[in-house]
Amino acid sequence: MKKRLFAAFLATTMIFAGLTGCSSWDSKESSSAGNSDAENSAGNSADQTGEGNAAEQELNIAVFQGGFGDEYWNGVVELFEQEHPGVTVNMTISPTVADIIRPQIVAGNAPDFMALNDSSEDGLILSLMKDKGLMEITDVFDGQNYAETGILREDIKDGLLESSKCAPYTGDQGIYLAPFNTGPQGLIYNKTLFDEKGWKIPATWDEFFALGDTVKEDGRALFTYQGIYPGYLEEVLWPAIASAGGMEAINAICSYEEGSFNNETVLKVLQKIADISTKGYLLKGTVGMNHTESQSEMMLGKAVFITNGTWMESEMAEAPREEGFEFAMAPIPTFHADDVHYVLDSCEQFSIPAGAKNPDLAKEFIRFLYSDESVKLFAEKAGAVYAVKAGRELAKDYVSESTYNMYGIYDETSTASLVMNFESLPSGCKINVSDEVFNPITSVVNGEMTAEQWAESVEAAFAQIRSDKEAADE
Amino acid sequence: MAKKPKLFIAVCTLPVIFLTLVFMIFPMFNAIYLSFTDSTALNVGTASRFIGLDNYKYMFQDKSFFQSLQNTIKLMAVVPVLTLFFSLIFAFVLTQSKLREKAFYRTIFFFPSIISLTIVGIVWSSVFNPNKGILNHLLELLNLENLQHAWLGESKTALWCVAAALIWQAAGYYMVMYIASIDGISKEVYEAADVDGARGIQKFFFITIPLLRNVIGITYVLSLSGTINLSFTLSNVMTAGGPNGASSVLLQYMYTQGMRNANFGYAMAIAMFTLAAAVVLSLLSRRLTDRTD
Repeated sequence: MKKRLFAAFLATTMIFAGLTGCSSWDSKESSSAGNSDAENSAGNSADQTGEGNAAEQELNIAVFQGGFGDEYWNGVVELFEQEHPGVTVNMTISPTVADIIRPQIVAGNAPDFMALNDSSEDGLILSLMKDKGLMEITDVFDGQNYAETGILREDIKDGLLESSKCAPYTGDQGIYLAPFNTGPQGLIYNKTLFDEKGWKIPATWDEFFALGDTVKEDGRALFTYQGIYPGYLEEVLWPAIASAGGMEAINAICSYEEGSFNNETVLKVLQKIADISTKGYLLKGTVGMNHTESQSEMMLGKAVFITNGTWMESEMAEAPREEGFEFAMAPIPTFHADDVHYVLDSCEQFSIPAGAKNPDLAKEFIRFLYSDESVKLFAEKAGAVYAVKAGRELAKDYVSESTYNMYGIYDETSTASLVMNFESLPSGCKINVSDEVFNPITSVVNGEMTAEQWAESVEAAFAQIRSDKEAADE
Repeated sequence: MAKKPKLFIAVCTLPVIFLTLVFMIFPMFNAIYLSFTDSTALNVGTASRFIGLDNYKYMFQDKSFFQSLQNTIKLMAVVPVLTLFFSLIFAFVLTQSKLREKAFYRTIFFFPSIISLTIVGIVWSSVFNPNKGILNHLLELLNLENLQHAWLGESKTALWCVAAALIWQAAGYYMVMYIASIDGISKEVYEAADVDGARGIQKFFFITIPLLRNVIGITYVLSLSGTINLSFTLSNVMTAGGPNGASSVLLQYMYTQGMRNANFGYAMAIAMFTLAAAVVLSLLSRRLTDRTD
């Protein structure tokens, strides 16, 4: 009997030991999910002794791995380590990086730097913004650039740092998010096809639908979009509203003003989007397709236009296509021929969590990311352009000709760049703005909802946000 | 050795009690507490404020919540009944008929239950794909083009596509349970029925179903809770709750609020509601099916 009791006791202790093992395990795990960082364990021990010894530092960074791949990040980390002796960068890079770092942030173990979008599906950056969980980084942009040739702020593309993309809080011009890449988004089409058939890029909505009738005779649909992800239609919606109602209309929407969405101008635009489907210009089956499916259909010539950004060329590099397919981008049509064509700018972001352990080094890293070598490396490895003024020219030798041309959309007459970002939501707000604005599109396209009902449902969400804001300010 | 080894039993159950406390009881009470706070995903337990019933009040005005509640109720009304119906038929046919390839069918029908649910979702997404999917192609072959739909993209069909996948993956699982119980029914009963000239359908309705009554009751409750849980994964994979929330379900809305919108407190309130609803429903259905004589 005694023996058995002892055995049971041993078994119990073993289980408990296993459990306690678990709890200490995750804190060490902080950065190993990423690439082959063998220096990881060495880095951790340096953390404890690193105080006071400026040369021996480590930087933990978390990077969202999207359409641009991981080659650039591996390269830039290596460059940074070369230029900063004694610094070890531990990188976590993954398409689901937010799910990896969220529990770490909750446990008070935040990374020093994040390359993650405020518009990403996971909502992590938006949550951090609501919780005031990001560090202010205005000083980075008011300081010298990496080459020490001037102030960094002046190198960045105009209009970005002041926009709510980077300064998300009302009444606070502080910068909390640093702009990463930039690129126009619009209507992607096959240039070869247009040249062959002698079709012209439609400038107005009337021309757009007229072209729709022409291409129908050719057995093609005019338009398709990323079906189950109606959020892609932001590339049509916001520019169209800006062209029709000016930037005031956009700014009113961004601050959730009453009547900003249910008014004549916006309704006119919503109606055009509804018309694409109800008048038979949308590729059949679009609502049931995902992004790759609809993009493939478009490249096979089933539809003439699709909304997308410059990344589509690399994203669809392996996809079958019509012979001679050449990527090109047109701006969104306007109501009058002389209206300004706004082009929605895509802009991903970097940020530093408020709980970062090594914010100074993280700021240095951000400065380094805007250096010419980093910008060139990004063009070379990812085929895309940084949000710096010299970006497009620095990238010229590295990106494909059609990508370079797509970036030139702003050079055309009467186009303007549009940066669109909603104001940060009040804490405790339960609305997801982009869901509220874009999810009804599927219902509108299916004819189950009218443009008016769409506008009303968005207004209702805005009203809820305004009342949450009042409650939060109390 | 009449004396019970009390101490030994106590020591043996300790780890289990400990594990249950740490991983079940404590999180549950924590969730109940959090549902009365404005906790976000990032400040859990630190900076959250106690806000009483505010989350619950908001919940009963939230149209997205009601939409997902409605969808969940629709699924719970349809999926368990159909699943168990198919399971029973399959089980009956496989046990009573003299098919030679019985074992083969049994494997085939059970197969979906051992596939990961995410994969089930992906497979069915491709079945329902508007252009490449087998369903629309079949309809085209049968000259039924007017029945073609963008199945997962239309609000009238999306939820039922999820339901179809749910039924497909669960039917084989309950079939195995029924086969076991039918095997437990004495052969003589069926033989006596044969002598009396009963046909297959009569045997099914007058022998199999009455004798399986208890098992059916249990599987019904299991299937109800399975529907609540599994619909989340399938709808997430197949439609992401779309189009326009037409296929979102309660647990999915909870996830969206908790993880995407960072309203942990609110998400816990939704979870509590779901829990309460599930408990009430299973008690109810147990009472209804338990009333044997």
